[in-house]
Amino acid sequence: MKLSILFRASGRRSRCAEGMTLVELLVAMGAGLIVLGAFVGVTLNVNTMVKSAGNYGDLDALSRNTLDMMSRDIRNASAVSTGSTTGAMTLTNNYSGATTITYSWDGSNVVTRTYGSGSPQMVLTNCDYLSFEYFMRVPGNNLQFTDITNAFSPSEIKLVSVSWRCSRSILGAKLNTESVQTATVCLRN
Amino acid sequence: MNFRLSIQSQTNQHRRGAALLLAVLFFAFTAVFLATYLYLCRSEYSSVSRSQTWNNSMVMAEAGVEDALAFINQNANGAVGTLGNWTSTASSNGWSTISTSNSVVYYVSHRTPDSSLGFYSVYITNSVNGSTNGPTILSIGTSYWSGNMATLMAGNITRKILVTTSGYSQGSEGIIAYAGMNFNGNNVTMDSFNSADPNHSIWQTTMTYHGAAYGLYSDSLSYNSNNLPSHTSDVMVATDGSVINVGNANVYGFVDTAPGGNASINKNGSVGDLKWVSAGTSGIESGHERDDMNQIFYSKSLPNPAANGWQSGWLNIPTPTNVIRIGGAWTNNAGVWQNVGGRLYTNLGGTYTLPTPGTNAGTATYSMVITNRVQNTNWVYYSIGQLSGNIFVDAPYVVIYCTNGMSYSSGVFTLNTNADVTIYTTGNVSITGTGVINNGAEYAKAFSIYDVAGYTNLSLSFSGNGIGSGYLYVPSSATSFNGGGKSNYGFVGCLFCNSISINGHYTFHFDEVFDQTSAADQYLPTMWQEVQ
Repeated sequence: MKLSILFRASGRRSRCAEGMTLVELLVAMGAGLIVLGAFVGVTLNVNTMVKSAGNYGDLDALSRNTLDMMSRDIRNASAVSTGSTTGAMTLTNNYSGATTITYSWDGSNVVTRTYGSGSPQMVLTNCDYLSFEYFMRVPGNNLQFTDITNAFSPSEIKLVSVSWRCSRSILGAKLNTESVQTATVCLRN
Repeated sequence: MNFRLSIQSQTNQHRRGAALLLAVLFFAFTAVFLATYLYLCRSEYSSVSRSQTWNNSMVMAEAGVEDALAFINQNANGAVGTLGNWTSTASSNGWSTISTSNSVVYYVSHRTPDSSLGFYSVYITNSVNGSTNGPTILSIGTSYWSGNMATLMAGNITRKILVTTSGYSQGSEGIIAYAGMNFNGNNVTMDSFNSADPNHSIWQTTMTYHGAAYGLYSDSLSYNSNNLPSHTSDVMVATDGSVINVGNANVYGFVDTAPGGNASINKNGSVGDLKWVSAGTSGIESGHERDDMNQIFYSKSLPNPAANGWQSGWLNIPTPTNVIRIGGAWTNNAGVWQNVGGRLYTNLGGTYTLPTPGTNAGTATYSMVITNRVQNTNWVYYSIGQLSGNIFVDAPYVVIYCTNGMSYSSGVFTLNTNADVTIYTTGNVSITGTGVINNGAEYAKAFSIYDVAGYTNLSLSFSGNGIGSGYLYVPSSATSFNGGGKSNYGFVGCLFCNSISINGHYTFHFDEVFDQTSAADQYLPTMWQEVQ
């Protein structure tokens, strides 16, 4: 529907040229605002949804890549030489070109991987936390592995469990989180 | 002039195009949104599928490694010398070969444990030198792409694992019992020495085992490491259970339980190094209690008599006729063991009267005598139902299979100096009363008893000085040492058993040579690396 304002000379007006009353005008404007508001709302939500989906895919891909790389490094390792429950873990590998591989979280955002004496390479961003757990080399009853996270002993560690969470904000709100919790990965050597 | 404000609804036909344009824009917007969203979903689906396929390929590659390890270990747990025979059955097991200038490569291609998941190909490079270096395994695992959308086909994913192996002997670190330990005896002492080290044994110059000299255990060995020759403190008293009750025992070494287990000890008990225990310090020294016991217990398989190249089956234990030579020095002359020197003995109505090893140890009459054979460049395999009569063994590389165990309540089993015997049993072993195993070699490696795989709930019992030294590998047997009275009895060697019960006064002297030079009986991975 299109509204037009016509200025014409006085005289008998035709039916088809009758104007809208003020009430009609207000109703029409109200309805228009509602439609416009709905349109804007849908647009914003769609925008958020698309960004959210994109963020999720991005975080998920990064986490998967990091997990694949980290689990491969753990499998190949000879031992976990140093480690803490949060922040850092250094693997010893006597068979590859580098003797150490270190994963380190800066405490707020970035997780890096350092291969040997090389420069740290960023593998995760927007990381809220990174946590490691360590288990003994030999299983106990019912194949349960003894958690020695709080009694770190490099020579006894056989399995490593790692978890982290990454998140991103959209319009100031943390709408995206991607949490990774591994099963225990076994050192093969 | 009079003007009127008129707001007019225009519904002319040409204005309907605006609505169409709005509709087109709306649907275009919706279509773009949907397309974007579906694209992101597809990317996520692709990412998940790729990750699953990536990890599946590792499963395939490890399945290949397991297959290869099972193949090269098919003779593991068996008799000495048979570990390397896996190549002889390669063809019948479906493995093909490629010969190179340096080695032979055995391989299987596209073996599929799960046809919906993928397949693996494995290559085993056999460049074995001796018994300690094992074959090298390269396993290539391929996983089928797990996405089911043709447009997302990323191709199958392949990962490779390189594994090196080494010949390994089940570590013998002392007294190890799978199910439990019960030390009821008084003054039970467990220490160690090293028959391969003159600093920790009484070295011999005339006694040899397979041509090599060794040292003996003696109570005269010092408990002061600065005063050689001395004891050592490396005996491992271990169980796969969660509790070891040390009681009042003195253990010069370590106690080890399964993870989370603990060792209990009375106020007169002591576990630690030479200084700790010899000073009579009560309790367990720091670092001498462990909870990382992780031992695979399996009984040995029977050896194949034909493995020596000339036997077609088990031989009966002979009663030699005429004259035999006993007590010479077994010498390897150009690959043939010969008895040089010694003394001749004559058959006296089906028996021989032979000297008991040792100075002024007297004589005994034997109806069964095993002496050297010309073929003694390899093991010689004998069998008998129940071994109970007097028997004299004066040859190296002797294997006796007792289908109904051993029972000595008054007889004597004598092993002459410089001889050795390996006994396989599928029955119980009982040495009680005045029955005795007289190990004239005084060397634990010279007298071994194995229980055989497939036979469980066996027993092995010794009373008094029923056995003085030996290597007892009997994972399926409940073992008991019953001293009785106030006499002190000793056992020198190494013990693997299902459970152990000690009553009376017993001392155990672990020979560290079993932790150093046992013949390899299985291949274990020494390196595992994912390679490009």
